[in-house]
Amino acid sequence: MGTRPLVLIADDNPGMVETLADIVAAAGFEVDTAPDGEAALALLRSKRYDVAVFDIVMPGINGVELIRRCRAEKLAPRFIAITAYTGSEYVNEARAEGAEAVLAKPLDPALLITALHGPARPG
Amino acid sequence: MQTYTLALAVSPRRILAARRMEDDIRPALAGDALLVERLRAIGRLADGLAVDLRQSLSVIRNSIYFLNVHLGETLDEKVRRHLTLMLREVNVTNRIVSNLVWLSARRPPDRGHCDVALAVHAALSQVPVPAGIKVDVLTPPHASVFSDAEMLAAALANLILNSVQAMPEGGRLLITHGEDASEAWLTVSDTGCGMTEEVRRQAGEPLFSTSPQRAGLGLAAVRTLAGANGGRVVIESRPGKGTDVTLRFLRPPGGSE
Repeated sequence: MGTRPLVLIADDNPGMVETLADIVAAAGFEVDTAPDGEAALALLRSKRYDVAVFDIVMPGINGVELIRRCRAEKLAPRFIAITAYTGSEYVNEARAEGAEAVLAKPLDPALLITALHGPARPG
Repeated sequence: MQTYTLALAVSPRRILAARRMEDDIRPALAGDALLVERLRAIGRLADGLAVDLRQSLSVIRNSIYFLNVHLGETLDEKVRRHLTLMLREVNVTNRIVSNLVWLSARRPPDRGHCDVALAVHAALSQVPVPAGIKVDVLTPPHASVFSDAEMLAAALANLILNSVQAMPEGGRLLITHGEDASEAWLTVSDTGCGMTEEVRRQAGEPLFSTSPQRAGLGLAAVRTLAGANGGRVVIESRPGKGTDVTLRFLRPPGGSE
């Protein structure tokens, strides 16, 4: 078991996944990536992640549904949502389901790194 | 010219240096169905474009960040300068995208007493101000205006960006607050190139711009944002001297802060 926190990044934009993975890895985290909600859920079932960073609007299982399923299956990393849709309904829904932060695209990577270093996971 | 001379005789200092355009948004919009329809058409297109553009901008911004972090001290000044220019244009493009979205005016305002200091801080964090521009925020502690906080910050960010672009050689950006029995206001002032009367008359029209590189959505978005919050925009300008743009908001009934 590594000592670096494990982060999952899920987004259907390949450029977003690649650039965020490089940034997060350079900041000292271990990183896995997924191109959509289904692949993210499969990974979340297979490993214990410290943080899941995901796009809210993805084809198939979207980010909000991803949180719901994780909670139902007692998979409980910290959730950080990212979105290009800044309409308040998406932000509110993600927060209501348990996202501790919702970052608007184009996001400030420094803010993401700060959010990743957030409060320690309980118990 | 005749009117100008007469005004000089009546009130030398202020009217000599300034001309005034007052724009009461609600009656103007209510009476201008064509303008409303133009803005709505822009808004419908904007919603879809905004998402796609923000995705691309996000990837570009991520890459700039990574290059700065990864290359760090090895970057020479010229390369660092190019990365800075790229990031600046990403931020400008994002503001243009945001203005398109605001012009659609889809979200009703959530109005409340907005702390002026917080709004100005939020606005300044959205607009990089070059080192040659001195920024003075002269607002009293606990000053407020009655508005949707996010819309207020977006309007201020547009005004700050306009002022920055009007001062390519540097200058002074001043933000002040005032109030009377019926209104509270914020004024963004600059010592930039100012506007002629013709430009001032057209300022705020969507797609009007004096810059060949810019489509001119900033002041149109400001008008829309102010109007949605029961406010209005007042522009005073002195060609070659600078511009003051004031956002005036009605105080709520019962008015207490």
